[in-house]
Amino acid sequence: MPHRLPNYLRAYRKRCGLSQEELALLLGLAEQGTVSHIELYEKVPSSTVFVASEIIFDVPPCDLFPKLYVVTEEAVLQRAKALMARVEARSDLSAEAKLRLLTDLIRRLEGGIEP
Amino acid sequence: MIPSPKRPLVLAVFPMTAGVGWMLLEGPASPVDWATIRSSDNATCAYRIERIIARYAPAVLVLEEFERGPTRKVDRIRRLCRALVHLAHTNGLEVRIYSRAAIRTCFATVGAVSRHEIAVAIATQIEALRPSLPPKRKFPMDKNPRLSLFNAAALALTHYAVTGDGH
Repeated sequence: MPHRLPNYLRAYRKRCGLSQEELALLLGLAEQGTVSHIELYEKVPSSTVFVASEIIFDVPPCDLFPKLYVVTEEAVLQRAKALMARVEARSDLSAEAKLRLLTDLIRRLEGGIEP
Repeated sequence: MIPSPKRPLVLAVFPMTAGVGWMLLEGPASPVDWATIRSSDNATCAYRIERIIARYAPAVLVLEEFERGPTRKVDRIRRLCRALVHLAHTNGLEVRIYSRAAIRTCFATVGAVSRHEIAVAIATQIEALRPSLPPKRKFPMDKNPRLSLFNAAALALTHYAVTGDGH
């Protein structure tokens, strides 16, 4: 069954020949154990680790942390739909720009999120 | 941002008396994880492979022919391979077995015939394995456990070449 792993931090680290200790140093983590927990899917990476990993490996976050990315995308989609309903009920001056943003966002996310 | 397409994971395992090499790939140029289990205890090796299967849920287990043909695998290795096949079936993995001749045929296209030449060809293709390349074995040196890792990689690449799944 085709699938993606929750994250590919271990794969990218090993491809670059880095030890967990060395990656922890690059990520600014005090403990090497945190890298291990993230690699074993036991811990969700912090926003700093998320961004730093992208910078280190030059890989988009959706490829480094696909599960976290998809979960966040789904949550943003639900919030965008809720905000869309609120904005549609109003008729202030900025409503048009907001609706344009939300319509584009929802279309983009519904096209990108896998079932 | 669209995530890269999903691809089934392939787990190649190559048990040797000196250690069990394993490699997990998403494609011929996409290794996900790999290591050598340095144990001569079948229960320990099977348990470690079981944990890898539980963690990554690969779709395919690839092994070298161990029951028939001109293989010279010792009884313990044959028993371990049988245990791995059972483990794979229990976990719903497809099992693919390739002969040494199939591996040689696959690597003959790049002029690699011996185990060491094949390891060198793999180290050229998969850069991440380059630091693990063992020195060429000279009699009476023992087999280097790291060679099992390259043998596992050779199995996986043969699988991709035969099935065309990596393209």
